[in-house]
Amino acid sequence: MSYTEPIRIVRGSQKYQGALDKDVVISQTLETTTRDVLEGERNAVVNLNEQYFLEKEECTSYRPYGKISPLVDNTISGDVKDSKMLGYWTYYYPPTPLATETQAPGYPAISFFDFFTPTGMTNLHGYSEPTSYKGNWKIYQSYVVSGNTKVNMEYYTNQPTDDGVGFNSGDGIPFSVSGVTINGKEALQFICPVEHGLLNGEYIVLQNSVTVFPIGTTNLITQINGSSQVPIFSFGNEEYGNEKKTFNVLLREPTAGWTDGDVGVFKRLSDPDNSGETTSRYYVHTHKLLTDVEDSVIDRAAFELGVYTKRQRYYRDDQSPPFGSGHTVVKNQTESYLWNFNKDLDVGGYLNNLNMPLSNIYITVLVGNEPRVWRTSDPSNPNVTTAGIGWSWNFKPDGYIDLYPANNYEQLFTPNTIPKKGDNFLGAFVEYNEFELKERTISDIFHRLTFNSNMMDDGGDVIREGYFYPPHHTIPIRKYSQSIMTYKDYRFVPPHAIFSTYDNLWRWRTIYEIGFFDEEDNGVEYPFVNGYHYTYKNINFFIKPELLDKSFLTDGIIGPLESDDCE
Amino acid sequence: MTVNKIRIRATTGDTNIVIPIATTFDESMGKSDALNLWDLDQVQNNINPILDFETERFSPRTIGPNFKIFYSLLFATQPQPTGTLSDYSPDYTYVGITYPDIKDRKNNFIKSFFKFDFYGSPETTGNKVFFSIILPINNGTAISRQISNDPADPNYDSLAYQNAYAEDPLGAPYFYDVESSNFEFSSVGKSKENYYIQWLKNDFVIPNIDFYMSCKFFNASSGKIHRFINKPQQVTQYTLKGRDFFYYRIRFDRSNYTYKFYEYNDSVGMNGAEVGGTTGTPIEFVEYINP
Repeated sequence: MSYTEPIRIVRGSQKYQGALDKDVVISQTLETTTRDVLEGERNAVVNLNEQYFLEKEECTSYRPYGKISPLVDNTISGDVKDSKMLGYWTYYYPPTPLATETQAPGYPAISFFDFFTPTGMTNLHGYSEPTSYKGNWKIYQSYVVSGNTKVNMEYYTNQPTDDGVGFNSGDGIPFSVSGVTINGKEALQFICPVEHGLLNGEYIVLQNSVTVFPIGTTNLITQINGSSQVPIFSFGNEEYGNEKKTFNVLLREPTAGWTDGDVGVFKRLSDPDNSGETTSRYYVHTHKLLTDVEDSVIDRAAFELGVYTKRQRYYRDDQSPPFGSGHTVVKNQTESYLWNFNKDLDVGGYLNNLNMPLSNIYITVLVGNEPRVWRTSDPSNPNVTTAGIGWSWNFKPDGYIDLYPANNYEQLFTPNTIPKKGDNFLGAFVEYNEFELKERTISDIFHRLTFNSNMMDDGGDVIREGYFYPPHHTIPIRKYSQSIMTYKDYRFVPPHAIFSTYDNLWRWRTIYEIGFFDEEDNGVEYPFVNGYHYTYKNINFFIKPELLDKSFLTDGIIGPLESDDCE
Repeated sequence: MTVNKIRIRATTGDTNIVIPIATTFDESMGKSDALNLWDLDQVQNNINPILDFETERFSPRTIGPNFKIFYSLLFATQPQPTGTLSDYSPDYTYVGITYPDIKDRKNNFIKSFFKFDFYGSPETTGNKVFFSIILPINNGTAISRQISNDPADPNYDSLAYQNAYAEDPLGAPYFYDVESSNFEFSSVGKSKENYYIQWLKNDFVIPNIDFYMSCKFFNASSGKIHRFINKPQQVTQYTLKGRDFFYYRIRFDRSNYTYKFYEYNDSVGMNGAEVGGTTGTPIEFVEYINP
């Protein structure tokens, strides 16, 4: 806008009488109401590689898919009572029962373990063709939503006397002790059922809470050398390769306060000066299901069969109770199945139990039990779960036993109630060290199956032996760095950084880019197409027998023949 | 901290207090961020647009038990149109594929097939096929047919007859099962082929949910392609309106990844009943008879 008043410029001497001439400067300011556009703002660099990388890194949507092969050694037999199961789906052992029998000993057909059920296999099997691939097993996606420190656990050290220790998952790792001499020094040897996770120079903190208690005739060890905080002296004993499960502590007073076989629970402590941050926490993962059973798609992997020999037998009419109908039964066979989900998974809004972006998603396989060959709830006993839970030390057939089914934390009521999206199930028993920012799996969880005594029993009793399987199978989608980053200013750290009051710094592990590996297996790489990540998982689904104190070989492979199949 | 002692006196006329708050940031920063986002969006749309071509398995959601689906593809038994459905048969003999050919799995049988084309609209001009399904004919349901011992009969099968005779000399006439052109598909077993249809999982690329299915038979015995229509021709009716005769309508449901077939012709007002769920209401095509 121009200046509206007229301007006259006159010399100073002409302003008034006596005035002097002087230099007058009229400053003209230049104000701009616009800004020049910089070169970088006018032009966009179009780089397909960069664009693809950007999209891949920012994408949080996944389409997991893969193959699953149930692997089972069908070794547990019983007296089959269900007429349909007996007539067509029992591998009779010993063979050649009379066709008039209403009950006969034998093994369940492999179809009770397989993903595909060809028809109704028991009188209680509510069979339908469209769901025939989901009758025995249900597949879900899940993630770890929280940690549970209240899960009751037991560790038995002596089967005949049932000695052991009871504790909660938050109390730490159980052990039993034994007195030893190391280089002439008296020491106490700690024997753990799982890897202790300790390193040289570290400490253990013995636990003494109301949730830790001895079972049987053992005593609870809560202090050594007058303290609950004890340094580690060495690892292992004279046996090879058990350093990860055995460690030793030197004793000042060799005979005080303990006897061989006493038990206890400890937590790992890496730095006594910073015990608040370097004492490990222990808990059990809680998995939340992300899908419904209808969202999974299961189908055969063409004609793929496993490497193990198919074992089958034909029974004539006169050998086939109770219907007298000749048939073939397959006892052992391994088939493969392809799985995927018709609902896509966006992990963008999810944080795991440590409030960090998800680094793993899980494929959760739960027993469906549509044929009801496994024990399940019924009107007379509605609180019986289909699958109990156990840990790696619970199911060892060499002496350490778990009193299953007393430990029924898992509320799985299939087939009466089918798990759905949002349901929670327990997962692995883990250790987390806040200073190391690292979670370590101590023991995976296993589900234990017991035969339904209405279908099969052991001379009128419930068959004590059963099977167990791992329900959760990890699919890594991101990896965290091996090294820990630190910085003092919160404005320049990622949201998952943890503030250490000990060294007054924010600490975090960097999330690696997809395709970057800092060592052989610390990294992930998978295809990114259609705007989704395609992660593949080949699951060997082991269904293992829990044989307790029974001879492992009950199949008579080596024993003398009781009768000839050809007779 | 310097604190001004400000006293506000209430008067009857004033109801608002205006407190100016100084800003120390540049409001144009938000515009700059928005421009950056717009920039990213434009780059993505122009050099690397993401189109989702993933397919998903769609299963039939028919009215019958176990969601089975039934096709009945019938060949003309008469040389001229009669307008009568009973003048059509699910028997390959009428197109030169005999029972011995079927039983012995001759090439003219195993290399013949039906082809279903799925069009985007029922219009016969400017239309295009979005996908096709090949139906091998060895998946047909079995029908019982008499074993012929007549050399003049195209289905003459002396070897089968002699075998049957040797087994039961007094049992004539003898029969065996051969595949027909009726099909029953289910979610398990051999009949699973073509039960499921793979189609785009999302509607970003092709938003259509309705497609129009036509049928052709590729005859490996004669080399001919037989066109099929959804109802019998009337006598001397050779010119057919495509919308009325050529199609069944399939509708995909992406909420649960299922599909259904419906009748599609003039007499049902292009909005016919669901078909394919039972043996009594199959997806029925009959052979078109050329003049």
